[in-house]
Amino acid sequence: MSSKKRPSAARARPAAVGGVLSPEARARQALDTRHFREAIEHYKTLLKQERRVEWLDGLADSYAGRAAELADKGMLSEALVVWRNRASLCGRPLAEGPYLGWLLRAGEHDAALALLTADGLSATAAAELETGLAAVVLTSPDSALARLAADSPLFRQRPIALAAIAACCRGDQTELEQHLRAIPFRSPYRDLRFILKALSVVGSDPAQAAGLIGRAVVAGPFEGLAAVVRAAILPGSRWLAAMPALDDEGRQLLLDLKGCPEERRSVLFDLARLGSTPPPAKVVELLLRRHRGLPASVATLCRRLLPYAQQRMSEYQGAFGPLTEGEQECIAALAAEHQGDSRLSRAHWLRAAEWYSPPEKEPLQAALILRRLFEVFVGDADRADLEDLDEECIDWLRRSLALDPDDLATYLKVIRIHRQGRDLRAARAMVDRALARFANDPAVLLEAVEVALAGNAFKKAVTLAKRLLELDPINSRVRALIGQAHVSHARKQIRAKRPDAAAKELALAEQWLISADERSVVKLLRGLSATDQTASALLSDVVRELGGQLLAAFHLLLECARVGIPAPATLRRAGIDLSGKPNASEVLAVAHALNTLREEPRALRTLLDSLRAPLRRAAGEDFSESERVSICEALLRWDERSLLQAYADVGLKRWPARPIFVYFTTFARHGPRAYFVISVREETALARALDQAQDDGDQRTALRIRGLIEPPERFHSCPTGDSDDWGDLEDAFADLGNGLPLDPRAVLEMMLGMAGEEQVISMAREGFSASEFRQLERAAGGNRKKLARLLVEAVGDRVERRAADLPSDPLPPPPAAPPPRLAPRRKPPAPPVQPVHDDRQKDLFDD
Amino acid sequence: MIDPYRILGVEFAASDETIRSAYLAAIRESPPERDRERFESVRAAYEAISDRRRRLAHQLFDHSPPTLDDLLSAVSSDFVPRPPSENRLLRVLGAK
Repeated sequence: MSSKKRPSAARARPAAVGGVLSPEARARQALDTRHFREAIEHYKTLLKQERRVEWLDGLADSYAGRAAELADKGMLSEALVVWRNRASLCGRPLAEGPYLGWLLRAGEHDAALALLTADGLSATAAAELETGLAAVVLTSPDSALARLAADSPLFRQRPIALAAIAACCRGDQTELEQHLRAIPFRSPYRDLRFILKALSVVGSDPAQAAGLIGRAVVAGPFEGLAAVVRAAILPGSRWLAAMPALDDEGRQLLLDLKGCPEERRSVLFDLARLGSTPPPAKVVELLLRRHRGLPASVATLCRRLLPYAQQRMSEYQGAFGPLTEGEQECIAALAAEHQGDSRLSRAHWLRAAEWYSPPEKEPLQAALILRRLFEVFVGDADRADLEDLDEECIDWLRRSLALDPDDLATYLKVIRIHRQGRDLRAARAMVDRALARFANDPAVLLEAVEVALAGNAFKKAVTLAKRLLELDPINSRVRALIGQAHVSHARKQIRAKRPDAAAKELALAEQWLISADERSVVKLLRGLSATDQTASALLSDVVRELGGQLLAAFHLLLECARVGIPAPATLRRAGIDLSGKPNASEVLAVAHALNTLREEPRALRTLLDSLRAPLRRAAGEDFSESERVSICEALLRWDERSLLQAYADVGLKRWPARPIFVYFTTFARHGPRAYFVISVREETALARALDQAQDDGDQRTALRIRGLIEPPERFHSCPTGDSDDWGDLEDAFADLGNGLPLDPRAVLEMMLGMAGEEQVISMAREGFSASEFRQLERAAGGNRKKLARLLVEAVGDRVERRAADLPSDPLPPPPAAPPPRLAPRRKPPAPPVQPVHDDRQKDLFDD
Repeated sequence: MIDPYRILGVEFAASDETIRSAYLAAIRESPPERDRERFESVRAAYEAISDRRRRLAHQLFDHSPPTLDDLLSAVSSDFVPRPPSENRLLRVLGAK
């Protein structure tokens, strides 16, 4: 034992518990607490007194522990010395435990082989030793094997094992099989059979290789080779991740098996270091730095990653060859997208499309780019709010069809956009183009039906729909469309005072319509097509079928509006009385109908004139929260703000914490431009509701509330403190005119905030007669601020009344709040939906 | 970026027919009841490159980050697996 580090006195004498410890107890304690050096000293001292077996065992255990400690630290030579001391001082066999493994790890193969000739080995120990030395025997020179017994399996089977290795490396399966069969089951080389066989199929049949390698002992004598095979059979890139765990020879063998050329190995090592999710920019850097000798696939990959490292575009071109102008634009566009700069990406995409467009270049790529632009900047073409789509965006699709006229999806998209935007002429032209290319495509035919219906070309719609049904006989939507086409045609006939023709159409409609509600509408139209007693009886039947006065009145009024029949007389004829309070289910049914209706707002408002009073009476009914929200949504959609206020107020009282009712009440009171008029109290309530909506994850409500409390974007730069800054103020007004529908009330409200009440009063009074102005002055009671506000309200009311030009909901009806849109919209609002009398369709579709 | 060409094991310039054959072979090999994940990736790969339009769109617009598999596949596209040399194998067996 070295004397360099003697255990300290304190450590040699551990604290006694309940008295002084005996030397033997101290030795035991040191061993148990893994203080091996200390234990060795104690046992050696004890053994000097008497050579007891238990002390000898203690010393052997202490040496073993110390040697293992050193081996774990990689101090193999020291560990071997300690182990040899254990053998000599304690009389233990050298070739037991981990000694052989340490010898092999230390590269002392001769010493390892010498163990085979050691005396006193049991048969089992000898067999274990032979197995452990199998790999050493295979790789040792013949001279080193002289001491092996000539009849030992290690010696006898060595040539067979070496021949098997040679056959495996030659790829000679037959010979390999033959040699492996000659290795007995109990041979020290038995694991080699599985490993070599697995190695021979690792490239061609990894699954079989996995089964074979699973039969070899883990950490056996051939573990180095087995580990390489285990790594080689890993799928995908996992072998690359397993590579660092192998020793250097193992790594090289693995790369040999994969067929990696010598000059590419360092690139692979670098890749392995990038981890499982390599950062694209680092990958580009690495590949460009090591590009020499890399295959063409690397250039492709690198090119696709350039948007992450746009600054390396010239370096890329130096390494892998030039990029076309179109490619460079595409890379720049993707890079801009990646950085969230949509304006820049749009510009680059458009330039790329321009570049690819000529027939000699790649028109299909240009078409794809234009379609992608539409997807990115407009999104889903099936959305219901595409009526006022920016013309430029539609043009992208049109141009894409000119470049690539075979894309069905784009035809459908363009047709749908035109149809929803009420540009039926363009829709029909596109339908014709699509039908010319896809004559029997159900989707095109369905769109053709929809377009014909939208243009009131009902016969045409039915013809197309029947053609579609031949292709797709179970299409329930088409069946419903045919029924609806007949119903619409019947309406047209009733309007034209042709009851017989209407009856014929309604009879046809009944053949196609299935739902009870639709059939009730047919019956209702039969009742409206005549004025005799039978017709009146039919109307009374319909009132019963529709299950209530309010709902029946709604449908009756709607159909009256559609066929141009005076409503009050018809209501009387049907025996409908709206003086009572409707029940909750009727209100819900009407709200549902309102939510699904696509009708002209003005016609519907006339219809609602008759229903407003009964609906208001039912506002206090006991609706559930979702029912009340649904009713409010319907009223909001049709801009029935007074009714909305009635229903929302009750909702807010019942569910004061629900942000949606805060939104509804504020919107009902002030409309979409609430920002200009809301009080501090309302703003506080909205802000609280916004927080709540965000906490609830209700993004839609949060967005809507934000629309009320945040200034429109174009007002952010308005002057605030300096009322003399009229240049800025004028700009702000110009912005107001450009960015929003010009609302005098909003203008005056803004002015009130910025320039003060006197400016507003002097500006607004010109619009009133002297008597009107005096009346307002009296109402203000001398309060100039109040007068300014009264003037603002009066101006707003007057202009909106003029705009509405019809008796309407008591509160003025500004347009519904539009959702925020990605793309700029320039087209004016869509014309009315109901009956389109368009001369342009006369020759094309007219019945 | 999960390279659909690698998933289906087809060349970059492969035709519609070749890609479809590779797709059918791949889903026969990994039906959804056996290996759902692999099946999904094969389907997604096929949808990305099944026809010329899609292949072009993938080439133009896909810039998702690469996986290690994609990188390795690109760098090792010209590797030809081969049996080890006897010397190398014996060195592995005799290594410390």
